[in-house]
Amino acid sequence: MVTLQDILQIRDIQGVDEYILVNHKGQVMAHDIEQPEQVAKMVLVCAQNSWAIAKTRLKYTIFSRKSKKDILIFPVGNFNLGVVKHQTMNDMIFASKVIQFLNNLLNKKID
Amino acid sequence: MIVFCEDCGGKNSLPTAKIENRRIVFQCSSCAYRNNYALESSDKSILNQIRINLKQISSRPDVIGGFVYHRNKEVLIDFMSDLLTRDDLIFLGKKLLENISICQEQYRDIEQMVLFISNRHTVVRALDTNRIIVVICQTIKAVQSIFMPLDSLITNCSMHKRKERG
Repeated sequence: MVTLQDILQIRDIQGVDEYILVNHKGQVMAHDIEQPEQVAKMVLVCAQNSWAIAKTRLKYTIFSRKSKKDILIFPVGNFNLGVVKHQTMNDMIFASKVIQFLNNLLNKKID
Repeated sequence: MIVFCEDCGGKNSLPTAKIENRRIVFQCSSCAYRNNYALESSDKSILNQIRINLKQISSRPDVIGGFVYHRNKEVLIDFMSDLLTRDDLIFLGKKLLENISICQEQYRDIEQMVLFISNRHTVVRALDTNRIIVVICQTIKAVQSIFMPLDSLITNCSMHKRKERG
């Protein structure tokens, strides 16, 4: 069974600058990010709207920034994982690394 | 003055003297199409430019289509063919505008949002606080191919706005 600690190994992935894990009510489950409450609200609204549009067909969302510190939001069961990537990392390579990490947790259930 | 061909969207440099009675008349240097259209108000003119660019982007391989959504006026431009109804576009536009707006409140330097959805990757750019341009692509390769044309479109809009301000 997957624990919160398993998911939080996300911080060990190369290129992760900041992260936040939000549940379906918008509560912050874990984070290493500035202004977590505001970011949690943002992640929740984005996740709800994206779900309304794509349902389970949504893989992830990328917000590109001038600073190149792009924000990626991944649906993870009843949670949403927001990640700010390092500016030197390529979006696609970074996203596939995170997806690979999340897929490795697929066979287990989230606590 | 830079003007754009109504037929092919090509950029043409036109002497101001050729603009008379608020009409622009010129032969396109790229496709030889004879343009003859009225000078429009700033907003109409920008929208017309977006329409030309978006039509070109929407006709690229593996691009399903695109549209422009306004917070109050709803769908301003639609190149989604018959795939989605007007109600679908309004629903999509509203949700996507809300997404990019809330993210820009938190991170001011957001330039673009992409939703990676199976066979329906959705690229969103904010034209201003009320308007977004949305392009839907079948493949990731198509998504990457429209970044530059979208950059040009946004740059052209900004230049146009700056010119109008004087």
